[in-house]
Amino acid sequence: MSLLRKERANVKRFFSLTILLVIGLLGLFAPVLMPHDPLAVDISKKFLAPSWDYPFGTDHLGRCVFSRMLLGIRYSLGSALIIQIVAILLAILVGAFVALKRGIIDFLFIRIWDILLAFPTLVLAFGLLGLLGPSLKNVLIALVFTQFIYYSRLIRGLFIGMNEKDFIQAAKISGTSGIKLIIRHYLPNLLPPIVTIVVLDIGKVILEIAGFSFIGLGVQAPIPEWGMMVNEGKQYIRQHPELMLYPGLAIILVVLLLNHLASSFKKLDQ
Amino acid sequence: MEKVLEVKDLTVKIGEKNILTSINMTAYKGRVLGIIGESGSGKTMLCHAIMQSLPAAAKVTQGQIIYQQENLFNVSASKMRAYRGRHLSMIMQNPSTAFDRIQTIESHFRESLKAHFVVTKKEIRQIAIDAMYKVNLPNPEKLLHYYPFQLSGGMLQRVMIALSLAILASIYIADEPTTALDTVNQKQILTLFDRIRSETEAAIILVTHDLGVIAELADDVAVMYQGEIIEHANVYDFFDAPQHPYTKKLLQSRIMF
Repeated sequence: MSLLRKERANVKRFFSLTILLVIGLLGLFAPVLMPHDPLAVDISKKFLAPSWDYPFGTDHLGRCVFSRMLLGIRYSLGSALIIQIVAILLAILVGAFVALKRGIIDFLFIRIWDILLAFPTLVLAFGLLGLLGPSLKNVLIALVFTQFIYYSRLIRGLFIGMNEKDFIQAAKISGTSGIKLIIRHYLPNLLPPIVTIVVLDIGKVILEIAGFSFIGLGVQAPIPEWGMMVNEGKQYIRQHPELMLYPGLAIILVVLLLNHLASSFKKLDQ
Repeated sequence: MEKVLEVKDLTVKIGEKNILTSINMTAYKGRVLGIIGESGSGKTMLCHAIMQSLPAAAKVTQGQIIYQQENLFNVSASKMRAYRGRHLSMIMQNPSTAFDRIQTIESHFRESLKAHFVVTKKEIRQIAIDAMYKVNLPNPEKLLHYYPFQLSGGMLQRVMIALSLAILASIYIADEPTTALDTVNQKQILTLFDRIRSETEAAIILVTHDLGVIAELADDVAVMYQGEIIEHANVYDFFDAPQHPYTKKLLQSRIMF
């Protein structure tokens, strides 16, 4: 039974990992693969139907939707990855520091973080974006910050759980220093839960980036971010619903695959 | 007899409860101090107090631990780290949990050696193989590449002893080092300890609840009961003329043949 479940988790992981990898590669090689310049405006060619030349047709400004979708992978999946990696690295630094120091630093950390965590992530990011102004860079900053707050608290908990483990004691007793302890014992042992959390939240972050762009607080107009494309398409939803459909479906597909992947990691972890 | 380590009037509390109450004891060069007592009597806590690795909840309320004319409670964290494993070496109680399950045996040796010495990969291997050979482990070369969960409890315990003996320390604190071993290996380890104390003149603090081990190896005996040392005597006096009622009870509880 458990073997069967494990096997299924394996198939699940393989399936979602492969598709995501293909999407990732498409994004990576987008400049080579794009049939047209995704920013080139040509009003005479607006709202073209799909053809060999324009696989997904063109939008209201005559731009190639397929090329925009390809480049959009970078802005959606790519920025989400960057946000997650930067946030978790910062969180490990801060969380590990607090968990190993304890005492008054830990106490203050918890109080301040309690206040910050009392705001829902979206509200906090809204506030930051309102302060910084809408742009791709500021979306990255705001989301890194909100993810970092959430993760540092989590990492602190994971580290404290390890503090009293016998092999940590044993390593300390044989004279290992703090940084080495973290690199050699804490992190390798905590890798499975950390990876699961990071992968699970990539989907959430993609949705947030897209959401911000959709309401105009995030990535700005010419950049082909998927949420932005949905936003641009919404004016023509009656005549050309496919302009919203392509990026919308792409977001759903990637987020679902990421959740799939994360849940298979979770099963492995257990 | 030269003093190596002296514990003076040490009291440790967790919350309001006394874990250790006014402990006094001395470890001498080349002598084995046996600490005996039932489970929960504070033996392991005493070891951790000496190593300065008490759990966060435990507070030292009074007392001193003197090593090289210094009170270990006043020594800086970095100096204490340099002492641990190099001067004060502890063999932990639970071999099954004291190893990091995702590091090989070799990397455990590498870590503790590199914490104190500049050594090459080859030297580490050689030291590790020698140490494991000494504790009667079969195929030390092969064991280097094993992960802790691939070894039995008894083997791990011997690996742990080898880890600690790979570095010549001035005090070895052995917290029930032979509990997971069969009698043949137990004898071997005790002989090894005996050789170390006569060859290197290290002091050994041997924590156990096995009277046989005490009779075999110890020079002095401290009896712990509910966080206190209730009797501190020469090993001969301990067996021949026990003073405290608890000690008498302890000696009567031996299995007689």
